[in-house]
Amino acid sequence: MRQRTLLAAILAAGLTGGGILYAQPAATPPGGTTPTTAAPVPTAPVPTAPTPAPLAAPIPGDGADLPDISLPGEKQVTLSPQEMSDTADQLIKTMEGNHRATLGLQASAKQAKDVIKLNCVNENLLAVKQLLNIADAAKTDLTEAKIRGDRSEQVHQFSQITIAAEKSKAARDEASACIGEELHFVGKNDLEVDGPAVRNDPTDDLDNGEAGGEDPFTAPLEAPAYASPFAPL
Amino acid sequence: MAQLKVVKTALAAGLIGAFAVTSSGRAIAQEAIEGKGVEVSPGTVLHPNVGAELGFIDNIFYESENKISSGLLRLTAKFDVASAKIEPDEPIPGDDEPGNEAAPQTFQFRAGGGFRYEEYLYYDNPNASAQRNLAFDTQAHLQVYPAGTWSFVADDRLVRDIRPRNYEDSTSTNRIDNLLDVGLRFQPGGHSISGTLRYRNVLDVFEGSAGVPNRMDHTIGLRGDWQWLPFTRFFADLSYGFYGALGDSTIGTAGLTKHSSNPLRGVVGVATTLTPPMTLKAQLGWAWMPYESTAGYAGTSHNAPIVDVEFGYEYAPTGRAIVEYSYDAQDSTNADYFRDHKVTFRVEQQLIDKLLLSGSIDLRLRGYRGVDPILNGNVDGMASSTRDDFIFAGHARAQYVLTERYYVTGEYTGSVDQTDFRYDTTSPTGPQRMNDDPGYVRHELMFGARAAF
Repeated sequence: MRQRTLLAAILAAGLTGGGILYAQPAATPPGGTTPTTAAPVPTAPVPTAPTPAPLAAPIPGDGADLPDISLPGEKQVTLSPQEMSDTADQLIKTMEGNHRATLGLQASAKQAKDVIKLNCVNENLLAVKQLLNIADAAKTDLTEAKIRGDRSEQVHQFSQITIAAEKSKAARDEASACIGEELHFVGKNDLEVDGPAVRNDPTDDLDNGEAGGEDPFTAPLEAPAYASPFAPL
Repeated sequence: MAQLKVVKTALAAGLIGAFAVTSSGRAIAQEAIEGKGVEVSPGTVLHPNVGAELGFIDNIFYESENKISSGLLRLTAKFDVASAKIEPDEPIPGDDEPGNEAAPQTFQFRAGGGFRYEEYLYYDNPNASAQRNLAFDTQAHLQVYPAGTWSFVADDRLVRDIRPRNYEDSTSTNRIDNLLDVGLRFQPGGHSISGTLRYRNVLDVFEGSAGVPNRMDHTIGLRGDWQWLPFTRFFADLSYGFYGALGDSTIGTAGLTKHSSNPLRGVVGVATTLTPPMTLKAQLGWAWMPYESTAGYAGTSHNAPIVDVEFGYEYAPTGRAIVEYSYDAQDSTNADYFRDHKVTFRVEQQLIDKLLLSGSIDLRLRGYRGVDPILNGNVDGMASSTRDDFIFAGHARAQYVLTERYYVTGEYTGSVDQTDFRYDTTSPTGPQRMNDDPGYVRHELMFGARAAF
């Protein structure tokens, strides 16, 4: 029976302690009083950089400032040489469509004079261009390998085109998701938050430690309890 | 039989109080709206608030029988003034760099108060209409170097309390009460731990011939606070008092006698948020209040624990309920001291944006100890220097905001004081009273309008 009581007491103490700790905000403010948590709000635009592609050998004909684009790995291919050639043509057409769409986004950002969005779109446009170049070169190599009858080289070049097409689509999607100035830069914000949403802070009460648990500066005075003034009988 | 009467009265009052709480609410300290105010100096704004209330009191003179009722007109004027830190519209470049921070405030000051004029409208009864009076309640707070390692804190409350006699009479029992608190606070480092050496002075001066000696109480104390977490504070307080009469301890030969005392009190406590909607405050301690013995009078002594537990629950974003139990003793004007078992329930609820309801129930089992023998007090015919009261009070208030500046209020106050203590007295102007019952039941209902500027 005593063990049960002890266990219950330990459990209750644990729950109470956990509740107290849970009720506190994350950080103790300097000064030890009600915390004033300033919500950090960016006061300058911070453009979102596109996800860089893995490093690879630079593309011939491109400048050193261009992002490096690579196409890792190969895919398992079971297509015939003609099917690979036809599929490669379709993929390259799709990539050309991606290129046009990204160019459209670039024109839209230029028209809106939205520098932040334009920077973001341009970076993705460069990736789309480079991937299209890679796919074109691979298509040429694929044709040569087909003429030579080199199956392994055909599979390798076809894989390069397939992966380039996938990455091109991803870069176009990323360009579409570029956030413009109107959403990204909200301007100067002086928002201040007076601590978390605890409206009734018990540590602020002025009756703590006072007689009768009453704030003497608001408590009513003790009323005279007799029919005074008195006269002896 | 007397106990049955007490229980019946308590039940009736309880129903009234419960209805009052659920249907309207309790008066709260803060007003719901505040005007733009009047700037009296740069950074200092005065917020006036005026109002008028009309209502009814069913027992002006706190009588147990032969009650006198009256209409009541109450005019009030309140004000609040505070010093404010003047902040520039635009931040100064580099202001927040190390070494360029804004200088800490030298002092913080705020003051507030209110005046209340009461006009009793029962003009056919000159004793009732003569109760017209003016009361005030003002407060001020000053803290020097609030952010410093050493800080000085001072608070003062000056009150003129007006109250009709406990029998029908044209005079009133009025008094001036001043409460002064000063302290020197040591708060090193992040101010999470502080120690305060404090002094409190209570001055209670009765106007005219109240028959109650004036009081002057001094208390010195040492208080420690530890803000362990943002919403968890531990505190401890140890105090020693010098209580006694101001001037003569007896008013002539006909008044009560004030016996001196040197009370020693110590409490430790915690105030914390259990979870965001639940709060807990608790304090435990001990009080020793020995009162002096004089010729023919054996002084009383209170030597008992101090207990206070308060639990608050925010049951809705706009509603909060608080329940509190307290056992403590205080120096008294009606005896050496009184000790209370107090149970309080309060609730505040905002129904819609413009309607605020609040209510409270206050139940006390009060024991007066060291009742002056001059009263010839008795309980069931046996001479007694102790008096036990059952005190119940219900308070309800509703406030509805009309416009940005104007709002209307409705307020009910019901109070019950029942005791089996009886006493004999007379007064120069009133009838001789033998075996008088000091208990009473009183209701007050007021409606009014207020404006905040």
